[in-house]
This record gives sequence, structure tokens and C-alpha cells, in this order.
Amino acid sequence: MKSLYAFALLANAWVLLAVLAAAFISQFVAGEPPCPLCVMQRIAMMMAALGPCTTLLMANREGLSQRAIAIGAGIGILASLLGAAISIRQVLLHILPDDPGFGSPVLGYHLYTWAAIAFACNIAAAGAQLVGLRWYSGNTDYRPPLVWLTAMALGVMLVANMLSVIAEAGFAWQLPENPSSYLLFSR
Amino acid sequence: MLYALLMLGVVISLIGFARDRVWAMPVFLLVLMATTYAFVSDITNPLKISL
Repeated sequence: MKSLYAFALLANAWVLLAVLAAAFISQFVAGEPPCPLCVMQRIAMMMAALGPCTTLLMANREGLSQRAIAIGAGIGILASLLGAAISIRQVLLHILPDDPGFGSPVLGYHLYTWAAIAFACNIAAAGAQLVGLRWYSGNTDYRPPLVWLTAMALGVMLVANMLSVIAEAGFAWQLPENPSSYLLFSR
Repeated sequence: MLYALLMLGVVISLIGFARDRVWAMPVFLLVLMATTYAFVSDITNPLKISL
């Protein structure tokens, strides 16, 4: 059971990081800077990835306990609820017929639709982790693998997004509604 | 700058969780509330609402 939990936590964190990386790559390949709602979804998704990362970091110190799993799942659910609200809001903004949506679709759906699906799946994953505690009483000796690599990947993703949003907003407090360029580099 | 500060808060929270600091969870909750406030103020901004 402890290995299953470790696999689930690592998969949870890396899937969220992969979605964030796909959004980041799409930003530069398609040349479409993210809108304010997109950036807020990214923040919520990075906070959601903080959930499994927190559990892994706690497990690396004190073993994979029920407490560590519950705290991480709680963080993931809170952040995913906010992220789902933001992404559903953006889906509803573009729900009318003949609306082209914001940005280019990836695999048939826009990024905010993928984000809504990812947040819903993350809430389900956190719920499953909590339900699974019925059959797992914790293990204080078990240290999951790849903990620091996962935390470092999240840290790199956070710093990269922070630099990207600074480049996009320049010295302005808010982002433009429909950004088309990076204000820090434009005159 | 607002969103960069929110992301900085997540970075600080991640560092706090990694180093097992008691302030990590309050920082996380503060960033969560600030992001919620940014979202709500964005969707209720009368300059952006169009019918």
C-alpha cells in the first residue's frame, strides 16, 4: 500500500507539472501570452501540485503517515476548487456558438478546458487518497523516491512562470485583458 | 506584478514545506485567499462586465 501511495503522489504531482509545462510550451510555440484568468489558473495548478509535493516532503522526513497524506490532499482540494472555479468561468465566457475561444486549441480543447478537466481529476485523486486511508495506517520507516526531484521541478516551474509573468506585465500591477506582446520588452 | 507576487508566495510556501517551517501553511492559505480575491475582483469589475 505504501508503494501504491508513493506512486499515486508522484503521478499526481508530475501530471500537474506536465499540464503546466504544456501550457508554458504552448505560450512560446504559438506566441500567445496568457490572459489574467490563464495566469490565475496556472497559480492554482501550481498550488494544487504543492499538495502531493508537501506529502512527499513530509514523508521524506517522518515517513509516509496518514497525517502527511491528509494534509497534502487538503492542500490539493482547496487549490483545485479555486482553479476549477476560475477555469469554468473562462469556459463559460467562450461557451456561445461561433465563439473562437481564447488561444489555440491543444488536442481539440482549449487550455482552460483542459485545466477544468485537470482540476476535477485532481479533486477526485485527492478524494481517493483520503478514502484509501481506510486501509492504510501509515509507515514511519518508508521514504518515497524522487522527492527532491519533484520539489525542484515544481520550484523551477514556479520561477519560470514568475519570470514569464514579469516579462508580460512589465512594471504594471495588472495584466492586460487580451495580451499580445511582452510589455517589459516593448517600448 | 500582482501575479508575480502570488507566485512568489507559492515559492516561499514550497520552501517552508521543504524545510518543515510552521509558517508554510499560513503563507499557503494567504496566497490562496489573495488569488481568490484577485479572481473575484476580476469577475466583478464593472469596467469588464458587458451584457
